[in-house]
Amino acid sequence: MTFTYRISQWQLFVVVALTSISLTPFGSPAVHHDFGRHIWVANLVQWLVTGAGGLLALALARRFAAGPAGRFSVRAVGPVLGWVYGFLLATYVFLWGPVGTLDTMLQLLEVMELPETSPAYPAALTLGISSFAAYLGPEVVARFAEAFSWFLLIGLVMILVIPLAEASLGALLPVDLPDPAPFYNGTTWAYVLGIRGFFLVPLYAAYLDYRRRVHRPVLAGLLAALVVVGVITTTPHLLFSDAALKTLQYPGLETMATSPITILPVESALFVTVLIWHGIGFVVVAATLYVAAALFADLFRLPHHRWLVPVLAGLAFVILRLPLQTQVRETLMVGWSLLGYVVGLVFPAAILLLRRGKRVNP
Amino acid sequence: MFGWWKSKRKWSDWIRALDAALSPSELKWLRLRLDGGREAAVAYLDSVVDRRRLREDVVRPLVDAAPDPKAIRRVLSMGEPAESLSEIKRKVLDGWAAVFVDGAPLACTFDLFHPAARDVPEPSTEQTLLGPKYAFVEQLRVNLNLVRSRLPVEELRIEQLEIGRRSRTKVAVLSVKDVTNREILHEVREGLKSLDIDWVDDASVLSELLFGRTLTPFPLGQLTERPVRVARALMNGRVAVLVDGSPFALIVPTTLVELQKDSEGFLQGPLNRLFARFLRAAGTLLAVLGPATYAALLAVNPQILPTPLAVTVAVTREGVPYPVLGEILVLLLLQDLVQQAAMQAPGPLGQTLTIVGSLIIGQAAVTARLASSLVIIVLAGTAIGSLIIVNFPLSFAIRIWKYPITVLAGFLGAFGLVAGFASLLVHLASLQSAGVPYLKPFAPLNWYDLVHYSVVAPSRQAIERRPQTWRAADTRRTGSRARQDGP
Repeated sequence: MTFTYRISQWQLFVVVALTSISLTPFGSPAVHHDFGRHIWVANLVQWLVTGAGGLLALALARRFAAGPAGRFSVRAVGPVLGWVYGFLLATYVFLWGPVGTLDTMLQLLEVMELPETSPAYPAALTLGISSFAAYLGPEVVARFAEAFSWFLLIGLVMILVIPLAEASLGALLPVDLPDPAPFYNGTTWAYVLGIRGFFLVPLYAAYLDYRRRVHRPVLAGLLAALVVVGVITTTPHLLFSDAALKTLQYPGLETMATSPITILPVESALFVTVLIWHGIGFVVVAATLYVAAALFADLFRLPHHRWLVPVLAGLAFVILRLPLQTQVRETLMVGWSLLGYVVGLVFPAAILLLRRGKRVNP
Repeated sequence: MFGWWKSKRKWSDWIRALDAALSPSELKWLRLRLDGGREAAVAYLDSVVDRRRLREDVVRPLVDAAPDPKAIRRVLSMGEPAESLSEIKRKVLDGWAAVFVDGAPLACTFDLFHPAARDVPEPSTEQTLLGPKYAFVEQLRVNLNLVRSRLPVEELRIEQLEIGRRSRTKVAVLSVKDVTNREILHEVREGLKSLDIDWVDDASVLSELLFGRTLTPFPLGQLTERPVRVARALMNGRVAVLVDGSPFALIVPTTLVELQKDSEGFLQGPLNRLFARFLRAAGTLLAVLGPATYAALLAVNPQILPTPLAVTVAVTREGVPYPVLGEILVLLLLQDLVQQAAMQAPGPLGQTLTIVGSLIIGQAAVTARLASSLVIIVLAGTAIGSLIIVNFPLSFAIRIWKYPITVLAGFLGAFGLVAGFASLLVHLASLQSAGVPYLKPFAPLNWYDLVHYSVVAPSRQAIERRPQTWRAADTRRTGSRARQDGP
């Protein structure tokens, strides 16, 4: 693979932020039900997990991520273990973006916009557009994310600020600790690992100019995502009672249906919200599709990631079309999330403890 | 220099050689009798030579000097010797006259080119209220003169090339020493030199050949007919290419933002420019997303609209016999047909056609219940949005892109709208012009250019420093370094 791409610090920030604010954290109504007004506790744990994952990813990037994207794991722990780790990471990223995020997008579409339309059409369209960006490489994906972010920023500010006008912080009172039972639930831990942008850091950091610092854009991106996700998940609890929230399928989104935007000719802020999540979904699928393709291509010694992009997109389409029962789907989500803890926290920590490596990105 | 005078070669030898090489019907010969029984002949192409200058600068001096060989030599020394038949051919084709004298192995050539010139016109595609009102013409020499007069700096470099195996079209590459980025200049120059084609006659064709991206509708080079814009681009570190026979200059690299800048240039205040650019950006978004939003909201997601508005819209569509997507697509196509016809029709007729197309046909369609009144408003907004775009090729690209986005929105609603817009952004993100990303300074972000040149310019920093997008070799306009720069 020719190592000619370059991305800027700002682009890394945008990619990390947008891939962290993806849809999957909001597809978990069980967490809202279980935690109720204590949702802020789950968010605090999310901050800790994300912070740990982000710091580990940064340390990995600074020690091992120079040169072609897929090689850092091999450089870190040798050919065999590095291959296994790289494979797990690529699988996780593939299941996160082209499968998981797109699956949530399709569910959202079916519930809120297109109940009569077959999900196959939007799935094929999303995978087609994202594949085109991923095929063209990380530079184009980063520029696409950056260009889109200007429009997404306006919408994000609207959907963050407008509902707060009606919110009451008193709804979170009294401030006490929740029943620990939800923490024994796998869905909670899937939610807590929702800010996933740091998984891409070692791969995208490889394309950053080596003279530039990597930690600022990554930490800023994660922080921005934590704030956005924190506000969006908490806001429903500032507006509705726990009992009312149990009737909602997507509390973070459906709350927007009660927030009018009188300045625009739309019924509520829900329209803007849905547009924003679709937009972010495109960025996430494109970025993760590229990273998964680059990792797999390197692991299987293919000449270029481009060969794999349509293959992975096709595979994602087939997986999305599999008729799975809800219970099986949820079990797979929890299992996939646990895999995320292994490749995002346990493995990087072990690598950093066992291997010294060179600081390539001071 | 004129030692060939005593050669034994006859001028009639040249007649046979040139007649064989050039079209005999266009090639004229003028036979002259000189001293000592020697004969001479003047060869020229009647269509491109200035006959008055031929008579007064060449023929009459030669005839007057005929008795005196030294005087003849003096007259001939005013021209340039041509060393081979191929050089004589090229010069004759370029409007030179070739003088052959018996006994001379070479010809003596005089530049008598008479351009079929028209007066320097006002810009027709880049109207300006406050800027200079003159534009390029079809003659390369005149165009170079216009640029030179606007940019009288000694660092201006003009490199002339010939492109086209058969046409040998003259092309001039303009840059400013110590300002233009050498990599970009090298890329343009080598790109031009490597072109393997038999005929080139236009700057827009050259742009396509140079970048090789023929599938994108977006212009990767900026075509302009205004010398002042070329001068400004050169001083910002860009490269300009002028083609003989084309009244447009090609400026590279370019970006989407640069193509949107108006012709008023630096003559307006920052607030005026900010507002004008906001309007232009809003117009562009309206042109590309307006019909798609209409299709998405009415065809797929009417629940998004507030109830009173939804009722009003439903009333306007009452009696329209086909679906929303069909309605908007047919009318968009009709609108583009009218625009295209108006563009090709002569001035007053074009304006009439626009009025007939937009008002009368639209009103008739609404009255006949073939279209809703709302769709006419949407189409009017779309048309105004596309007309507000300064650069015509860009406006055309936007007109093309609105169709797939509208179709997607018509089938998949708001999701289709986002998907269409995302595909447009991916396409734009993939484009580069001479190595400069097309979406710069928005993506990749360049705060300096964004603030000082693209949004609020001109600021004081914009006057002191050149835009960073073009990677100019000398970034400062002021200060000791700028003053010291030079040959």
